[in-house]
Amino acid sequence: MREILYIQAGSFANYTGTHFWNTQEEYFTYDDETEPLVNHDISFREGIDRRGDQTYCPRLLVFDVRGNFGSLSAAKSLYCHEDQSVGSSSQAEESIWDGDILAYKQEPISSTQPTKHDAPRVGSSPEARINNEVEDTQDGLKESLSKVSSWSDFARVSYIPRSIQKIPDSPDGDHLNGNWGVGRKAFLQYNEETDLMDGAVRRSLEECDSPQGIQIIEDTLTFGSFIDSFINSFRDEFSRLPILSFPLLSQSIPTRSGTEGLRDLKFMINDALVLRTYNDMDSALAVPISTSAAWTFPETADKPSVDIYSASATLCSHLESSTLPLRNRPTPLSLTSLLAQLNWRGINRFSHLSGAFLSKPTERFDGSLSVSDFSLPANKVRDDQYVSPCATLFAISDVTRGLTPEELIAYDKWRSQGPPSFSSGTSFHAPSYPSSEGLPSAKALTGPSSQTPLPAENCPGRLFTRMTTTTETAAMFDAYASLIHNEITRKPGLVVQSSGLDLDELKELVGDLWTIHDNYHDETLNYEGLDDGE
Amino acid sequence: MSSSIELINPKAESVRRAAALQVNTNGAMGLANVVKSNLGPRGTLKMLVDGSGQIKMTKDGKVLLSEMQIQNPTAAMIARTAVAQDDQVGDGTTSVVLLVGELLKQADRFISEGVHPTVIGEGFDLAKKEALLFLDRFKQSTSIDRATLINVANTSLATKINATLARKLAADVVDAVLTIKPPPVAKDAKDQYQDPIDLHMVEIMKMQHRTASDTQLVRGLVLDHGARHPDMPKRLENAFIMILNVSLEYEKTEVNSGFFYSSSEQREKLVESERRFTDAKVKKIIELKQLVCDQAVDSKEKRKNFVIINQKGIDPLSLDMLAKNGIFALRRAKRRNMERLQLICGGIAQNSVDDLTPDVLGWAGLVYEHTLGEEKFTFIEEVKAPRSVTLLIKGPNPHTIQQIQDALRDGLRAVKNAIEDNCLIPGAGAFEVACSAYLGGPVKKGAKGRVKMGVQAFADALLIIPKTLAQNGGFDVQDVVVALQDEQAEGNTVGVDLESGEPFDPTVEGIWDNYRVKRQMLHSCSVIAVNLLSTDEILRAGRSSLKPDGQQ
Repeated sequence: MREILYIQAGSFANYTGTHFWNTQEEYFTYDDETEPLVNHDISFREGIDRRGDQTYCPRLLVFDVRGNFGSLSAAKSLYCHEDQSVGSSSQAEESIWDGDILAYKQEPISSTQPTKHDAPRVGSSPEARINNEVEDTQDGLKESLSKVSSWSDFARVSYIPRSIQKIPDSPDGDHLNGNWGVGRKAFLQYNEETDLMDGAVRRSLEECDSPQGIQIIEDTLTFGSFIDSFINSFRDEFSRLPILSFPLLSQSIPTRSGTEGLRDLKFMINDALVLRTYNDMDSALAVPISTSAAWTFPETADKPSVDIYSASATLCSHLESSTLPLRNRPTPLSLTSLLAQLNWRGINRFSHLSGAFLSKPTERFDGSLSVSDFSLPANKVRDDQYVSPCATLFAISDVTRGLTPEELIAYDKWRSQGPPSFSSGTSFHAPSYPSSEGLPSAKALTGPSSQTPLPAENCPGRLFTRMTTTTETAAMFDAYASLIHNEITRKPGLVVQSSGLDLDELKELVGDLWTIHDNYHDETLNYEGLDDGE
Repeated sequence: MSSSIELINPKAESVRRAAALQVNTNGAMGLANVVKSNLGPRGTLKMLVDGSGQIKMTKDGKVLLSEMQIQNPTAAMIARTAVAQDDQVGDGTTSVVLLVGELLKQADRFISEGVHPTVIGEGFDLAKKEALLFLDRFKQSTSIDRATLINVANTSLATKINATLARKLAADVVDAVLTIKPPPVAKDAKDQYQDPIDLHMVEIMKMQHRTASDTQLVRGLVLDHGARHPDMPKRLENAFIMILNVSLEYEKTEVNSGFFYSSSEQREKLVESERRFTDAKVKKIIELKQLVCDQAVDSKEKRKNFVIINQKGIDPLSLDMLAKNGIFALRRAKRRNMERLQLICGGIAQNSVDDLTPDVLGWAGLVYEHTLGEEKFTFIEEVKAPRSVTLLIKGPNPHTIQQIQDALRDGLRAVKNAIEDNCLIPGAGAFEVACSAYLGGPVKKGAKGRVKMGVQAFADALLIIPKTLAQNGGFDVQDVVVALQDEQAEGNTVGVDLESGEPFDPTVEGIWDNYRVKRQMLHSCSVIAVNLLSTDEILRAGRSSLKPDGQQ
């Protein structure tokens, strides 16, 4: 078995991750005949709770600041529910304190759970689940959305206590936001106090027979430097386990025209530092995701709403699909192979995620299909058209969901006409994405006109997603490097002050960013040819 | 009168002079009031329940301060100093906060009568210097034997858990520290440097099981995982222990992943050869096992067994080979357990399997697995001369376990401090009463002019410790203080007996505090109090208000 350990850090990452696990839960089958689409043992661990019941919980570590967990706590996870009720704790059992006890209680956070189903281990009947779903979609998704105040509100899987890693709010009011030093300190302190690496991380991997790697989703703004320290510490112990990471970049996007303020600059430097670490790391690949406001959508597509619930659902549908081959049954692709495929040149540790929903008749594989890019904040970084005609694709990994046989033929044709690619890309075809919660096209269905069952080709879970390694990436690093370079030339003092790094470190960062940029230059390819890889 | 900063930044807020001092005094006293009820064995335990229903039981000033989201900047500054105190010496957080609050309160009395704050500050500095000198005279370098150390541990533990449990655990804590204590440096050794006690060599293992009174000292190691193979033995006696840091996992590397092979056969071949490489490592270990455990079938000797504790992974195929040879193997042990195991079982941790000889192996009399729900624990016990131990905490729920863990942590540090200081300070407020009398008497007499007032304020402030102890014990504060001072004037060492409220000799009852804790406490509380006293103006002109409009 080739287990994957999942790491989520930060609010948006956890929204996305919660959608991810809800989708995994959809893949469970509850009768003997249906073979599940994915190999659950890769992402889930089997255990026994304190009552002796069998459990299936994600191989997952969830990091967030304490306030963002909402009503979720280790005390409420699957393993402690009985002996943790507040009232009984001081009287019923043997107390180890004879003196007085003074209780300070915060207002309990009620869990709204608008779309809560039963935990997977309970396994409610399929009909009930479908009914539930229909109700959810029709009773106005909007209403239930307004109740989601935390990602834990719509989580349908149960966690083991070890998964829940609440980062305490800093006592002196330092914010994690973009403060590189604060994040490092927070990690060191947290690791010291909770024995994170030797405890939760080690134990999660100890129970894996042969772990194949870790998959990270992180908010770089809040958890960039925290996770950066985590990865470095992780590498000390597990020097070769592959890391696939989806850093969700901050809202500060480098532009040609300069920055809007020191704060933006600080956030950009923070993002750049996160990205640089991935470049320095063996067996790592990062798929940077730009802020949801900067995702490019073709004009024909529905603009997904910008609220965090829907945006994370959109992102998750593509993220989950693009990594689906890793969990495929019966022969999953290994994380090592995926990384090697995307980074076959060995120097490109950044890929792109892009994709399109195929729920409308207009969205078909022909010349008109336009694909949204989640990685490159295109029109902001560059002024010209985002799919520049001269972009070279080094590697492609496509996944389609729910295509008909005719469409597959159309896809193959479209693919062969697509932009030139230097390496054999891969394509993977799977049934529709099972969850429609929060997806843009699901919203369109909630109107009164959609009472009748939808034809299969309008299913919101039909989509196309692609991970590529492309020369486009160079533009992003160009933007970061030139912007930081300009700023440190113009006002070195202020930049140093706001970023907390000294000038030499900043200069080194700029140099490293240019190196990453140069690595995406495809001239080397033209000269050295393709046969090297063989 | 408006502050000059408001001329250049109209958004800046400022308070000046007396008002500024008032802000600081209020902040300090407010914080002191919050932690006041923590102090001493009769303080109040706090139960914190957060919004998600998670419970935390604590009496530790440090924990409480980091759980509270302190907004007041003065309070935050004091809290940070107090937390630093805990990080350095492991105790005294509550005392520091109380003292700072009381120092400012006493200073306020004089300042309201027209004395300038800097004069009081000077007095504080003088008083601190004298108090530290007095501390050195007051300390008792009695023999630090096991019985005394148990009293030290008990003094610390009794402030966190009830008396019965504290008594029991005190002995365990002392035995733990005495076991890991590095041997004393020989008198004639060239280098007289004594290695510090490394408390990391006491493993703290938690088991949610039974009751808190089952918490115990294990002279050996408890690991939080078990063998991952059904056929491995669950219990072994007379076992060789091999400490390993070698991956017994078939690992694919980035370079030779499947993507580059021209044919699937070629790939299969490579996979096979890599598998053989892993197998070869396992075989070398098995050879060593056969060498050392080889016994004649009818041998009268006790059966010999073989255990592997590996820091790296062991995959199912390797586990299978080991199980077939009767070897018990654990994978992914804690990094620190490698070090602990060498101290417990002997043997030398191996980073490769190339040069294995029998003398790299350690030994243990008993190795067994304990299953608790889905969790497994491995006990390595009956070892010859352990220099590392495990404190096994048991409790019915996570917050009880956490409470015991916090108490043990403080207890361990108190014992370590006592051994390293090689002296102790009588507890129960005895030092504060004696020091207060000394400052108020000879020191004040020797001080010049108005500085006397600062010394007097410091002397009065020190009494907050016995006062709070008495108050938490439910006794009349004034009666207790007067009785203490009378008794002290007779030349005795006196503290508050929290059973009766009467003065008593803490050294007889075995109530001891750490020298370094008191020292650090005197330092930090006076430094921060002087800082706050000399504050003349408080400005609030953060970056947020310096920003032009319209920017977020």
